[in-house]
Amino acid sequence: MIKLKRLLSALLCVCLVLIGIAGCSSGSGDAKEEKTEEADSEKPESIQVMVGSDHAPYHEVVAERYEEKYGIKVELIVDAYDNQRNKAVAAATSGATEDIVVVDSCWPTEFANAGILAPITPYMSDELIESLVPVALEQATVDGEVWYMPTVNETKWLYYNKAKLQEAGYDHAPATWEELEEMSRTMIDKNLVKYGISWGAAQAEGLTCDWAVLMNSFGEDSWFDESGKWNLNSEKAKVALDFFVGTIKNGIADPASITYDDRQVLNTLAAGDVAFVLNWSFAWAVLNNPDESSVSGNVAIGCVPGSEKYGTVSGSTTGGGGYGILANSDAKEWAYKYLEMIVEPEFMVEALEITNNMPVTAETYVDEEVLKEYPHLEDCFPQYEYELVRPLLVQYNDWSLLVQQNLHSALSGASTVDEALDNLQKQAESQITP
Amino acid sequence: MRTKRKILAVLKYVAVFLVFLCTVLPIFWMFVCSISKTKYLISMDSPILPLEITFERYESIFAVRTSELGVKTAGEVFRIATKNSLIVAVLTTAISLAVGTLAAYAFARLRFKKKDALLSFSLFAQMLPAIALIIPMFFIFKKLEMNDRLITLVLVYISFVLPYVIWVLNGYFKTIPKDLEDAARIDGCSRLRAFVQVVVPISGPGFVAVGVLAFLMSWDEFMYSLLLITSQTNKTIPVAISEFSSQFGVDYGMMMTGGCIATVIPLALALIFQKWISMGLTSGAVKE
Amino acid sequence: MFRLRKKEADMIKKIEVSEARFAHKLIAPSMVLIFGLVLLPLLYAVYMTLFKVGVSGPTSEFLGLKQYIRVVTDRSFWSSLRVTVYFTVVSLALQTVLGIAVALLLNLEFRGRGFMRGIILAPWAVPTIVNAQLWGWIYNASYGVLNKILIKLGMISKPIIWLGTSSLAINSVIAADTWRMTPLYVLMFLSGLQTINGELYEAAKVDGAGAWRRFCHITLPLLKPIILVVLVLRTMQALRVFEIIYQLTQGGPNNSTMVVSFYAYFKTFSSLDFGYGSTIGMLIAVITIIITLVYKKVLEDKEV
Repeated sequence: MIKLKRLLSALLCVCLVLIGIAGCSSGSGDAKEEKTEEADSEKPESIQVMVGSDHAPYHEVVAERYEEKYGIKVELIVDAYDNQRNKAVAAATSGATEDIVVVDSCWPTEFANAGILAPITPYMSDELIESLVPVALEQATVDGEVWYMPTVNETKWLYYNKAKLQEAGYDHAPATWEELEEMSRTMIDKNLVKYGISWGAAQAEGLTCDWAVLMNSFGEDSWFDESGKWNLNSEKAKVALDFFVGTIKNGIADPASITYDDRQVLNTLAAGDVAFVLNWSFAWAVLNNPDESSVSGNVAIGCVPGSEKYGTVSGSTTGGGGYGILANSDAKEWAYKYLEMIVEPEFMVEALEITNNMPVTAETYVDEEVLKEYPHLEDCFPQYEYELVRPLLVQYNDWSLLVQQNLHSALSGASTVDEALDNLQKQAESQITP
Repeated sequence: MRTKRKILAVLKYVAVFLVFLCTVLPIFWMFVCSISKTKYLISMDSPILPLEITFERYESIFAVRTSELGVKTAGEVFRIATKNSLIVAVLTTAISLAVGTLAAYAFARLRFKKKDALLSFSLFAQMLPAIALIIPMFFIFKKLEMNDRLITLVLVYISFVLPYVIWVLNGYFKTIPKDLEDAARIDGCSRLRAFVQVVVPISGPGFVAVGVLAFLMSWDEFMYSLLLITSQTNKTIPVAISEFSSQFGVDYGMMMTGGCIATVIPLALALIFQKWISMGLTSGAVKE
Repeated sequence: MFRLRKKEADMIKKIEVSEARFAHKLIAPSMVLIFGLVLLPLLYAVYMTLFKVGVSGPTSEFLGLKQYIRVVTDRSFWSSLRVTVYFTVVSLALQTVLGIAVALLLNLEFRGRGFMRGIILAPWAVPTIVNAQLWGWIYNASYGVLNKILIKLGMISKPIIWLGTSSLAINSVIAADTWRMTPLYVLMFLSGLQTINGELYEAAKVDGAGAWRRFCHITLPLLKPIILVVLVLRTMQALRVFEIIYQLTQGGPNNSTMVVSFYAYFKTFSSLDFGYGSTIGMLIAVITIIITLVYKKVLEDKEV
């Protein structure tokens, strides 16, 4: 009995103390803000960097160099990419001690608006700005401020199985969607593939990306009209969606596309069951890994087709992202030095080697040695000229969800193309401020 | 009569076999995926079972790399996470069972004021979805500098496992006839002793049920663990499994490998636990 | 009960007092552990629903019930609630029936019973995140094993897109959840069945009661407390179902699997609308509590 009593009182004490401390320290939460400003230039003992596990290997290299150079320890907090946003948000809401977080190319407006990030513009030298690929920087800029350091210059390319194309008697990649459709038909008829193409059309961000690619390649180059209003149901958009839905209905595209994410899309190409897919740069490494892919060595990368009807050459959407500084970091200047280091050309090549990470530094793309080592880069460049950046919005995720829902209802046959896009336009007009 | 009985017996075995199949087939598939080369898993035409198998994925988890420093691979993280998860789940289960049994007994057998209200309230405290509680929890633990510790996870898990433990055991104790205890009390046992000597030994199945429940709830928890733990050496299994993925999708084969390991451990424990409890049962008081 | 004399009544009163004191001692550690940890976050969460919340926590701008009104007038909230209720009702009904059936089966005598009782737990031991991925691939329309088997057996000629259409997707998710969670019911019901005295059945048999009557009049009433417990527990879990949706469908196709917890998550972590997410959470809590009370009323009243 006595034991029980003791245990009880011990437990009670612990809990009371916990609650007490929590109460006190949450009260002093405001003190933190003053500290930030004065501590800015003080050299910290360490900085904390939250990185995606995909990028961790090359961050490890950068971190080592950073420690050598500045004598500041870098603590890498490694998590799966999908968990990063949750962690960054949670960290930001609690007066985090972390300094640097991953920022995807479609987050900066939301993060900036919510006060999660501090702009890095004040620290950026003109030289550095010059050295970066413009499109990468453009995505990171909101209201004239740069919110993160781009580290990967992503876009969607057309990956295709050149061996199968050759077997079917084609010696080139399709230049237009119409040609792609025709080639697919031939290959399906010759039993070379099951389907021509598969899309990342599950209700997820990937669908918004594929949509941006299609719309752009059918010649639509803005989400807004001249007066700055939403322009989501234009004629070109409708033709693009009609094509999109058509491929699923007429057997050109894998009907399971409406459940695929980018990785599952890639699987169908890797298995040799489809001839074409749209995908990001990471796909290159996966497709050429013989353990995962039966088409290793037989795939090529090139520009997304254009539209014969509208006479367009190509179209795609940008992606990727980089690393930003949390608004409540007390070592922003030092954190920035880390960001600067990531985009040194030398490390960019390292990243290219490790994860086929497309460099953001312009000089890498003309570096003879690099080109010799990575010959596929040359096939990649032309795409960067044809891009439609996804809109930078405070309500980006809400907008993207609307896009996904409406497209999905058209793709699954629940509504017609016109209904879906008109509905999208109406909802966007009433719910999302451009 | 006889043929009818025979048919019934056959039907019984058929039913058992069907249940067995439904239970085991998806798990068997999980194992197949974990040893199959990825290219066979994603092919639309390939036969159902893979043509080539490989244990590389298991090797990548168990292959020992003893670097203390540096970023760890997903496989290494998983190995460490297995240990962490075991610690957390065992502690959570043990504490919840010990403390919860006493409370459940009080709720089931004793009369006191506000009994129903207290029981309901302890459950209602858990009615908020994790999504709504997680930001405040995170905030508070961060202020206490208690984030990134396994003990914090144990505390959090106890706080939501314990109400269930009490609730289930309370229901269970109610199904046990009261006369048994009364008989022991007439023999001069104190209340607690009557409980410990009479009720506990015959509650084996109840403890197994609740123990498994508590263990699996903490074994499976994802969100709190994801947000409260930051260092690679303190992660738990579900989070470690989620790391078998990249920005663009999951590494399915590795996930299934992690899944197989994560399934076998609690299953083995449950079997041992069950055996042990049923041994205690036969050596202890004989029920009815 | 029998009539008590005054002396005995006094004694009982005395016992009751000491009983209460004893009971308090027994429940104290649990209460401390439960409330000690939850109370503060709970209050904070309530606070978040009443004040405007920025990224650095709630501000002093008092909103009153504005957020609640925003949620209640949000059509997406109601549609997600509808999906959640459908998920809860169908999966609970399915799982309870299956659970009782399998528990009864495993309570019979047969060779390998111990083994079966162990192996039946296996699906439950599969972590939710793996379960979602596992079924995601089994369901995959083009290279998933389910369609391959069905086609091989000649049951279908064209692949079925399990997760691609609204009506199929939610039911496929329920099936995946049922596969994983049914063992919980089996385990709980089995533990309940084991407390039932076998003599009761024998007596009923002698009286000529058939199997179905024995089940309705002996088994079910005696299992009632456990059924109540499991229903409450699972209702709470099902109303808050999140992870399997997060991993399997992300709310798609066409929002047909957008459950309320996932919507709250979306609002909190995707739209960064913290107050909105907590308000949805609070409403889920209220709904859960009401349902729990109804269960208790219905099942406990009949029990007496």
